[in-house]
Amino acid sequence: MEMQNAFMAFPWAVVLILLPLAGALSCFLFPRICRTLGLITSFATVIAVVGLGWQLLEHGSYRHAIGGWGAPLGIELYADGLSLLMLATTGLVGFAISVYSTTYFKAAVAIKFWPIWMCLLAALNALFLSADIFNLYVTLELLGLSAVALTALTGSKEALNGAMRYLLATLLASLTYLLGVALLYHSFGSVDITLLAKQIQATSAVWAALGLIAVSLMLKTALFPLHFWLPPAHGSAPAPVSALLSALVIKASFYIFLRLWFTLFDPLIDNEAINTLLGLLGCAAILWGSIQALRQTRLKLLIAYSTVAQVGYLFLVFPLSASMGSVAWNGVAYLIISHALAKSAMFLSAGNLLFFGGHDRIADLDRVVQRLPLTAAAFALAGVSIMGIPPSGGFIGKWLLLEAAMSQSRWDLIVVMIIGGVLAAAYIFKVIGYTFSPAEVAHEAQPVSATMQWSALLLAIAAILLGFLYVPILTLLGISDIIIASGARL
Amino acid sequence: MNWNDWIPLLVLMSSLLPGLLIFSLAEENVQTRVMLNLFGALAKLALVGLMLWGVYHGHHYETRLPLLPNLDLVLRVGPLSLLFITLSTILWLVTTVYAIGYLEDSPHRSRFFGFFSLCVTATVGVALAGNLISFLLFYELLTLATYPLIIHRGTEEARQAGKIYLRYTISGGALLLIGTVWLYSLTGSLEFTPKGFLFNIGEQHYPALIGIFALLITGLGVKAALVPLHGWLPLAMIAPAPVSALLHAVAVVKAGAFGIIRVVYDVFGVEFSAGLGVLKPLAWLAAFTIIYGSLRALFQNDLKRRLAYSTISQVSYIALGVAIAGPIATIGGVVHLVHQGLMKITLFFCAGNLAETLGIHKISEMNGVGRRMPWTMAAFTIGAFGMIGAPPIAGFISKWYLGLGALNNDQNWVIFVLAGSSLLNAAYFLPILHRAWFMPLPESWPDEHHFGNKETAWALLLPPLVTAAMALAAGLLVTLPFSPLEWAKLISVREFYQP
Amino acid sequence: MSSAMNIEFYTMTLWIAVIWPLVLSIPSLHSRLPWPRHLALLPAAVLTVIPIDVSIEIPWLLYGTGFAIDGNIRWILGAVVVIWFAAATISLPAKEKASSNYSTTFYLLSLAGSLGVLLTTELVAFFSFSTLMGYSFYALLIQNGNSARQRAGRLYLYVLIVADIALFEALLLVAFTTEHFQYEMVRQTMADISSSSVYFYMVLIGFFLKAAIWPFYFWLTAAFKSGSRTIALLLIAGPVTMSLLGLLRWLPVRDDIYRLGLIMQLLGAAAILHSALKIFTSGIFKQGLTRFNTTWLIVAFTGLLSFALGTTMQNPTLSQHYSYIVYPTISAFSLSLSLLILTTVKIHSEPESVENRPVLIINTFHKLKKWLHSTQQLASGLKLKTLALWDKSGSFVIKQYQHICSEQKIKFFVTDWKTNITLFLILGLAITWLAI
Repeated sequence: MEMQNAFMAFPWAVVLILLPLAGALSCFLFPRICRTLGLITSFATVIAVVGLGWQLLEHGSYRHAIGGWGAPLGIELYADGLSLLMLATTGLVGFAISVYSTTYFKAAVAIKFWPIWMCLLAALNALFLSADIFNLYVTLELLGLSAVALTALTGSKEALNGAMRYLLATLLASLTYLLGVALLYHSFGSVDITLLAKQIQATSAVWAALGLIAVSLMLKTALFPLHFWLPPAHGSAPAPVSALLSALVIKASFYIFLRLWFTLFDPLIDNEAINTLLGLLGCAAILWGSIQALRQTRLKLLIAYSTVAQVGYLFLVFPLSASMGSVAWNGVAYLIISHALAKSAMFLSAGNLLFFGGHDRIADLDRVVQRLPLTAAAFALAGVSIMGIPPSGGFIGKWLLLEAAMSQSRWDLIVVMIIGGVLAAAYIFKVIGYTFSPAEVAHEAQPVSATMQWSALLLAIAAILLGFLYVPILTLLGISDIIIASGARL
Repeated sequence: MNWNDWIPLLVLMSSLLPGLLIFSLAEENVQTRVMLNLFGALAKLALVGLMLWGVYHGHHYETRLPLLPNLDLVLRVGPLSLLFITLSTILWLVTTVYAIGYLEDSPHRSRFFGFFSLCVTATVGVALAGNLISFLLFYELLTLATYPLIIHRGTEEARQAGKIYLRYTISGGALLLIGTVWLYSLTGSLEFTPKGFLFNIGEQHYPALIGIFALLITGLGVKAALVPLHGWLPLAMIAPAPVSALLHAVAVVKAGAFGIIRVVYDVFGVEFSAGLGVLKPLAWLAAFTIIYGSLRALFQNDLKRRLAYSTISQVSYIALGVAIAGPIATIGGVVHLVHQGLMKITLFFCAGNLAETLGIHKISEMNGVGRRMPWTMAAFTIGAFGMIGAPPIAGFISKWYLGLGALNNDQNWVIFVLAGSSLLNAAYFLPILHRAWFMPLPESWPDEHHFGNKETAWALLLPPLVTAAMALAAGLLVTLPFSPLEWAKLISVREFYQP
Repeated sequence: MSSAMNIEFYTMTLWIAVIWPLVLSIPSLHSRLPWPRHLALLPAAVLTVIPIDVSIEIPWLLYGTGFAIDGNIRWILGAVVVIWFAAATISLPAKEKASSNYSTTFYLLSLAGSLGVLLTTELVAFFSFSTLMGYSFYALLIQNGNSARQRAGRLYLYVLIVADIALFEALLLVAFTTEHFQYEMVRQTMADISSSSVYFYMVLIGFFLKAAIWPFYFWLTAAFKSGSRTIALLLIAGPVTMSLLGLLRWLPVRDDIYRLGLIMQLLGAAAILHSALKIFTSGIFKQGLTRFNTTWLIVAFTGLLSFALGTTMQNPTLSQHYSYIVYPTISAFSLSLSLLILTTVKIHSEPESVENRPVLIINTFHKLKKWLHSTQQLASGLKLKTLALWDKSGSFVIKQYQHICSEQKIKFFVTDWKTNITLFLILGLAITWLAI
């Protein structure tokens, strides 16, 4: 009983931020054992998330004032169901990627990888736990910089190119965001989300802030047409890094968008025009991304464009949340999680294939299904989730969005979602089809270690299993004390 | 704990688990693989037997797992599901034996049998589904599981065939999804209830319901190969013979037809559908498919392609039986599910035998085969005559009930369609038989393999003989209590027409 | 008690008669037995000879069927057994290699089908057995096929398929009206309903096609002309007789369908006239009887039957009086025609001259002698004295007959058409008188 109480009272949220920072530091200081240290930190983060989850289930949403200083002066941490799910996803995917990276990176690169990766993890965790917009900026900045650094890790020309573009885009976005924060602070004198939400009104300054913040986050999340930086960056980064970027980093900025949209800018969001615009951009992203993915000849670029398309799905929550908000909300949350799992699995298997054959040309995937069965299975299962075919997490998310759209008779969105699913099936099965057939010229194969294959496969299986775990996830999502305009709980 | 709640799930597991295990086996582990395969098939047979006994004594088997808010994954055992699942299980056992013989010394057998088992799992799931969302889940799973079997050979041709297969089935699945979501948002329920759950809907929703019906039938019609959604079927013949046998007799095509039965009887209710006016177009479409499939079959020289078009034609009998909307026509349609499965699988097994033993793929190469492989061609003859509708083989019984049902409902035009279909069937099957039995032997066969004194390997010879005997028995012994016909009568009364 | 048991055994013969040829048709079985084609007739012969009427119900087969034999059927069964026996004798030798073209298999399947058609008690089984017989017969038709036989076979097949479809529709109509398929009940029921004319037409078309009744006789002429003697015999014993039987059993009985009966009468009359025309203008006076003319004899007879049936349809009381004549008449006709074909008729397609025919007959005598001889050896082995006598008397009789059938005499016999026609008529009259 004592133990349990102690367990409950432990500030897991703080641990979640400090632990990766400590890990980063130690990896930097002890480069020779950085792999082990990184792995341990990653695993410990997962445990911390479990602890936090337990805490939330017992007590509901959680607020922690750092150093005892509450808002508006101090920094507060806030954890509710959505943050918990994001943290859990981060922890799980992060752990899998850590396991993968222990064997993927050679020593020279690994020394650079692990500290930066730990920083990224810390930034992510802090972001999901932040309760005020300035803190969000700080974490967002840290996130962006770590991500750029990881992208440029290999030092190849392509990687540097992609990283440069990424850097420019992310800096531009961060500055825009900061400008928006400044506007809000100037108008209302606070940066805490809850306090701001109580005071906010539809003045022109607020509209401007909304516009700036929206654009910056759209740029960070690579929503069409601001997605130009994503394919080169994700396509040329090393596989685990691409996985991190597509699965987690993009979701972080989207998470901020969701939070701010539904809590902060609540009085403004009933505007038809904005919802329609976001919906339109989302549809365009789905169609454009899928069509571009179909045209790719390299696997990693295909997966990157697939990410662009999937992000479009996420943005459909905005037009759909008018009535029946909670269904769309649940759908998007589900999509975020399953996409994270599936996309990381895809990138990891792409990494395996690259490692195996020395190239990632789709047409030359020489009978991989027989020689790397686990990887092929991982790719296929992840693809099933991306396509939105049952049974998988992606299907559940898609179903919920479709249901929300149907109840509002948004046939345009329905048609686009279905077409997106069909196109996704087209490009995924194109790859799978090629894994069965022999290539024209055989390549020498490098053996791929079992850890790498199994980490990809387990992530993919998790994406599929997510399709059966509706009830627990919904319970977790329900832990929140923010109620949005339509009466649904966030 | 209540075992009755878990038996449907166990039935699924009995092919899923061996399948997953087989994936991990190395190519050389022939013994283990065969043991796993046969163990899975026999275990499933035992469980199905248990369910048969249970349902006969009035037990109830249902598994419910939460899937979505207010929608569960439901596996329920009723007479119709039992019919389909018994057919699937028995034919899976037979096909497994056949596949073991057919693929001897072929590459990638572990992969093949793994996906094979997944395919059967999906089929069983389709049979057991208790609501439309579970049906959709297993229906899509079936698509995913059959694709690797089609492209198994890994050639460019196979890849293209697989691509076209996917184009059709994924689009069909998408349409089915839209229909399901629409229905759910309209009515809030997707459970399969006898006589449907839509009769309380207000009249203003009727156009929406017609749209939903069209979407659902189109989505299902892709797999059931209704014209013009049939394009994938002849191309899918590129797959190895056991796959063609399974696809065309049991799994994919029947799943589509089964889905149509479910939608018309358990979602819309047959009287309601007739009232909506959607059954007439379905009947016309089915009739057109029957004639069109047979016409196309006339012009095929490749044996498996001819059989493929014949399948397109025959499966629409089921849709026709459903669309005529009467108890007797229902019996005809439902019993044809079984009969066509038995007869078609026999024909495909024989085609596979010819290809494996003598390298024959075209009908023009089949001169005199009856003398070289008499037992295979005897089975083929029985299957062919069954298709033509000659008594006392099973096909005669289904045509009988379909014709009778049409007479009962004043739809006399169906009789002409059936007669025309019999004529066309005779036109494209009898020449094959003539060639095989009455033409002189050629100098040499395209690619002959010898099997000692017997005409071909036991594993290849027994399955068609068994299924041909079953087709013959299904026709001769129709009045026995466990014949498919009696079962279909039971289904028609219990599930569809009892007040 | 023992008689009851005997009856039971005898009843078993009913279905054994049908199953036995089916079983024998398996190639690996009949290639090991001597004289399979004759052996297959054994149970049927038993049924013919023992004059007890029995029936058996088999409720689990098809929709519930049964086998039965009574006096009427026995007439036809007798004719069938004799004709098939004769056909078996003049066709292939005793043993057959397994790698041949399955002629014995199809032969036996046709036989099984015919016997089944004859012995069943209801419509569905009738249809099933008739299908079996029909398709197996096609195989027989095109044995050793030259192009003429192939063409005849194709014609036959087309006719068969169309006829089967018509009969299937008729069956459906019966199923639509009633639950029972026994002949008498069907005939009564189908006559009472209003849509009986559709049924009537279906039955008419189906059986007229199958029995080559005018105007659907064309396939029969083709088959006769191109086929061998065996085929000619079997055509009579198989499709024609069985389909005539079908007509008798399936036609609805009605008092007042004047129009339908009239149609049958008209068709029958046309048949008789047409055939008479053909026979007398075909040069019968110069060349003697040919195959072609024999076909017209069949057409004439079937036309006569059609006319008679039409009359009974208009006047049902007639049918009660004369119905028992029909079966013996059919039987007599078949037998006599077969005899004609066997011994006298010129065959176009065989490169056979008049000289060869006596050789055929003499060969038969040789075979008979050999058989007698072997029996005698067997008898002496078993030390049965009476049989030894048999041999002596037998060979004596044969020698006498051989003397009679010397070259010249035979030549005269077989070519003199007057003698032949007279013989034919005498035979026919004799059997008819016996029947009445």
